[in-house]
Amino acid sequence: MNKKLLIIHILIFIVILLATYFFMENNSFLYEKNIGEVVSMKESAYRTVTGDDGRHTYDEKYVKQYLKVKLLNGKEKGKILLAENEYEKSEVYTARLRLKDKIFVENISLKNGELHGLIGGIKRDTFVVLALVFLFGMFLLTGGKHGILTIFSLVLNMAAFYGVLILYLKGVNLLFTMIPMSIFFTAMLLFFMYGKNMRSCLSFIATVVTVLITLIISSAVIYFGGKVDYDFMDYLIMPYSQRDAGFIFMSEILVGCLGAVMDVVVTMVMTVDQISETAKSPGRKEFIASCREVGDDLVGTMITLMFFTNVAAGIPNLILSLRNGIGFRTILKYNSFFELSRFLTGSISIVLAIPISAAIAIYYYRRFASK
Amino acid sequence: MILIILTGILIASILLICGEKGAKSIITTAMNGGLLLAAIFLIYNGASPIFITLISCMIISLITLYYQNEGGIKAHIALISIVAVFIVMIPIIYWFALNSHGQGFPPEEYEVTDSNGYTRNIAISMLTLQISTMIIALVGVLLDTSVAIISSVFEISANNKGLTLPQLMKSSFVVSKSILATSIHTIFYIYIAEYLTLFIQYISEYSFVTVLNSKSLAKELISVSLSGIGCCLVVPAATILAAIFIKKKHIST
Repeated sequence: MNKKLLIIHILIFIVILLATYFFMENNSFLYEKNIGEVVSMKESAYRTVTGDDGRHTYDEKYVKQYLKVKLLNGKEKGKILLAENEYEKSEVYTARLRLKDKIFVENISLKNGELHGLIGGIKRDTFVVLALVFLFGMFLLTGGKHGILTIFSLVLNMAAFYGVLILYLKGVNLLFTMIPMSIFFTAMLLFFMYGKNMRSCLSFIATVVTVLITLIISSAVIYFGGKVDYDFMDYLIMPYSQRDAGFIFMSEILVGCLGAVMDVVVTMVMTVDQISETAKSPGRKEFIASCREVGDDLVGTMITLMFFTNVAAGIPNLILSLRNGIGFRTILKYNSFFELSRFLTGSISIVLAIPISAAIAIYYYRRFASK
Repeated sequence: MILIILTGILIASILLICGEKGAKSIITTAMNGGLLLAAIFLIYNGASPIFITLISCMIISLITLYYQNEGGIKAHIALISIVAVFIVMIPIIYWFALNSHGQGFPPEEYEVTDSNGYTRNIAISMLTLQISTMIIALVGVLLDTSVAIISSVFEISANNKGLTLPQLMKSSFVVSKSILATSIHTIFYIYIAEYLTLFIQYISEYSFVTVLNSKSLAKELISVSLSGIGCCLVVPAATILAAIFIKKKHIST
């Protein structure tokens, strides 16, 4: 029975995935821009440029693609159009088009009886939406009721972040809206996932305290540690003001450690709760000993997680910089600075969460619960 | 300078607060970092990015499981489930990376341009680097989630020796589902932090359609989603394997 239900669910999931894929691949009627599909192409390498990083030289091939594109919407739907695309073999800033790729076409004009156009970008919506549907489907399949809650909470979170950013663009200080929002979200998430009880309440207090202490430590270090060069912050809008960029950076640190801290805190409070239920009259020493053990188990993999999720995205940048002859120390100091400091502050918050949550929980249970 | 102070604070607090295992996590992180650097230098010198990444992910998993978490049956199960998920995920990663054209640097990264000294003549395929990035982001998530699940299954089984396999499976799934929810939130907040500036750009400058088709969204969101999917896949894999093998072990002893 149970297995049958699972198989039916998986089948429904696959059907939904396929339906999403076909809908997104054929949704060009929804767009005002002209969209075409690459139906044939010829490539020719037209020059080779030599790159140099001081130690090695690299040959980079520049290639021109002569494309025949079938228009999928608009007045000229169904007609064939000629276009060109240029790319380099490394695809650092450009992209190689392949057959069946969907692209946006601009400036369509008629020359000698043939349609010509310029490529105005690749249509990527299929894969973005498909990845999201895939992810949410997997939540539902493996998580069940928890999955629904997770999706709900993620969507709500995104909406709230959107609201905060809108406020920020209207001129409200980002950090000062981010702090109450994350406090609110911590409360909501904890009471949502773990019910309205004392444990959630304790977890909430411990999370807020830990995150605030982390924020204070990191802002002190950044304040006294010298000037930060925000030129190298990924995706930062230029021009920026030093003060503004600083607030954005602090908000990143705040949000980045929130999830991890909650994770640690909930486990710690649960442990103390379990001990006070099972053991007859635990002393402070026993509490601390077992909290230490549980905390020890958590720290290792959590720090590994922090490390890889923060650092992974910087790898292409590192390679690009190295191959352009930018020194390794410079890269660490400027390019990877933000990733590394987010990793470090996140790890500090994980470690701090252990004694803080343990202290709050032990204080409560020894004071009130034993009576 | 700031990085050095933060590292100092981190190491000091680990040594103060955690026991022996915490100290081990410093060494593990240092080894992981060293390994990643070695991998980057190998790729820089022309080695195949995907191959190097897979090997270093393997070594990273071995270090984290057998050195930091002291091996044993829990580490074996974690390793098997991670490898299994990887085998499923790699074709998916490859398909998404190939079709979404998310490789390279989007125009939203103002700093990275030809004129700023980041020329395009580097002769390394950015597509393979993008796949490597996705693999590395995935391995951290898989390690964390699988270890958490397997140790709680172990605790459940050790505390209730009388449970039959279906019963153990059932109560393990209850725990692992809540672990999934917390892991997803942990990753979600880390990525929100990482892409805060990108979101600001989207909201201030772009229309919805432009965002949906932009290279930066394809690059980052697909990579995040694939980590999440891997996380979902490792939950049943680790839970079922752990329930079966731990039951066997607790019966035989």
